[in-house]
Amino acid sequence: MRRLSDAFAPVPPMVDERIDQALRKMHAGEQRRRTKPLLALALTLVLLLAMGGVAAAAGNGVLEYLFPRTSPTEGQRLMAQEVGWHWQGEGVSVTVPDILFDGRRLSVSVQVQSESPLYTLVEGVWLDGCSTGNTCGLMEGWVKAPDEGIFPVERGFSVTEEARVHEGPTQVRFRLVLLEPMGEVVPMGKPNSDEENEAIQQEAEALIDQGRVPITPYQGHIMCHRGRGLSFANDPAYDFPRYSQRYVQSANMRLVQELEVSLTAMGAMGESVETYAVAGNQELPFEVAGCTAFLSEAGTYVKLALEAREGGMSREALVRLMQETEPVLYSAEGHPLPYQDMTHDGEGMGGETEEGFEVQLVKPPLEEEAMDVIYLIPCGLTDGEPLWDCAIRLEKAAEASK
Amino acid sequence: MEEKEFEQLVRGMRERMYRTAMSILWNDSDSADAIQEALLKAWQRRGHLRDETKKEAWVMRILINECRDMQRQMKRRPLPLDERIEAAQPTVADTELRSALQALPERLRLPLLLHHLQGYDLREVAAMLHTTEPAVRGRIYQARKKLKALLDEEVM
Repeated sequence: MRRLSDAFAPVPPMVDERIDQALRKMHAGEQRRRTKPLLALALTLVLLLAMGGVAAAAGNGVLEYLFPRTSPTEGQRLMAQEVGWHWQGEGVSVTVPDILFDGRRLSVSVQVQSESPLYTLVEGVWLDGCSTGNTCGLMEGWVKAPDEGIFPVERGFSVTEEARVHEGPTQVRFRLVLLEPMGEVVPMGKPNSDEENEAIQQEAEALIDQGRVPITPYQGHIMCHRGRGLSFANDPAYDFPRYSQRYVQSANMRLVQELEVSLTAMGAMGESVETYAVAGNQELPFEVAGCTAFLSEAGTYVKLALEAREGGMSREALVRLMQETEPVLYSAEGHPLPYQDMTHDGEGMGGETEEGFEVQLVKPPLEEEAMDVIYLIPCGLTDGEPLWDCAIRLEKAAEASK
Repeated sequence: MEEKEFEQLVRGMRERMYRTAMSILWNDSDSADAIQEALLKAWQRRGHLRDETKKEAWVMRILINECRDMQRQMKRRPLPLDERIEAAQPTVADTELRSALQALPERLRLPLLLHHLQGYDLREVAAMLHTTEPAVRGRIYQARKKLKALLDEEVM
C-alpha cells in the first residue's frame, strides 16, 4: 500500500517565507488603516485617482471583458469596434463603449453605474432581426450590490450563434432591463441538499410576503415566489420569456427602465475551419458523426454531432447522457488542459437531434492554430457510474479546408 | 475575521496549501507565488466570507483559483511546462507515485488529494471545486482506479 503523502516533499522554506511576506503585508496594511486614517484616506484618494487614470488609459471595454488577465492580440484589438452608445436617467448611466464580433460570437461591453442598488439583465439579443435564442440569465446581477458578499454583475456579455452569419454588416439589437428592489434585500444561505434548498425557498417566499427581496448568495440572483404569477409564456413582442416581469410580479422588484440598444456590427471576419475524426479503433457506444472546429481571432468553436449506434447506446440513452453530463474539451496531447480554460458558452449550446445530440463548445483563443488533438470527455455521472472512460480522442483530419 | 485568527488559520494550513498548490502547478516557486497571492486576496475579501465555519475551505478555494489563473498564464510563457516541471522537481519519497499523480488529469487528481491526503470531506471538496458531492465521489473512484492501474498497487 502506497501513501499519497510520499509523493510530496516537506514544505520548502520558500513557501514559509512567502506566507510570512503575505502576513507582513497584511499586517502593515492593517496598521496603516488603524493608526493613520487621514493619511490612509489621502492615499486612497490618490490611489483611486491613479487607478481611474489607468482604467481610462487602458480602456474598460470589450477587450478587458473578454481577456481580463491576458493581453489581447493585435488582431483582437483590430476587431474591437467602437460604439459609444450612452443613456442616462433616474440616477443611472449606461454606456456601451464597444463590441467585438467575428461572425459567430458577439461580445458586448456594458457599463452600468447607479447611485443606489440596481439589478440589471439582458433580456434578449437579436442579430439581423432574429433572436439568438435562450439568452435569459445572460449578464444578470447587481450593478451596485446591496450586500458586500455579492459579486457585481459582469461588465459585458457574449452570445454565440450556432451557424456563422452572412458576410457584411450585421444589425445588432439587445434589450437591457434595469430593476430596483422595493424592499430590504436579504441574501439567503447556500443549500447543501435538496431538503435545504426547499427550506430556503420557503423562507424566501415568507420574506417576499413581508415585502422583502431575497437573493441567492454570491451571485445575488433574485428569488421568486412560486405562488405569484410565474408564467414563462413567451411574450410575442419579445420572442422570449420576460424574466423582468417575473421579478416584478413575484419578487418585489420595480421596473426602472427597459433600454433597447441598436447598432451595426462590422462584417464577419475570416475564420479557418478544421475537421476532426475519431482516432484509432476506439470502441464508443455511439457514433461521432462529425466534429468541426472553427477558429477566429476571438475564439475556437468546436461543433460535435453524436449519433446513436445500433448495438450500442440508444438515441434516448445518448441524449440523457449528454444532458446529464457536462461535455468538456481537452487539448494538447498527453497533457489535457484544465477544464477551467473552456467556456461552456451558456445554455442552449447543445440539443437533441433526430439521430442523437449536437453540442457546441467555445474556447478562448489561447492557441494560434487549431489543436492537433481534442479530447471530448463527458464528465459526471450517469446511472451512478463515472464516464471518464468515455473520453473521445479526435485528431485533426489531414485534408483540412482553410 | 480578526488578523490574529487569520494568521493562526494560515499557519495551521501551510502544508495543505503547499500540497494543493503543488498538485496543480508542480513547481515550488510557482506554488509559493500562488499561496502568497491567494492569502492577500483572502484577507482583502474576508468580508465576502459568509460562513465562518468554512473559512479554511474558502481560503483553499481562493488558492485553487489562483493556481488555475497562474496555470493559464503559464501557457503564454515561452518555457514549456514539461521543462518547468523537470527543472523544479523536488526530492520526494515516492517518485513513481508522484509521476502517476502527474499523469492523472487535474479533475481527478485534485478531488483525490483534497479528500484522501488533505482530509477534507466530500462536501467541502465539492464546494472548493464548484461541483457536486456525487461528482467528487465519482472522480475519486476513477482516480483510485487509474492510479491502481498505473502502479499495480492500492494507494491510500
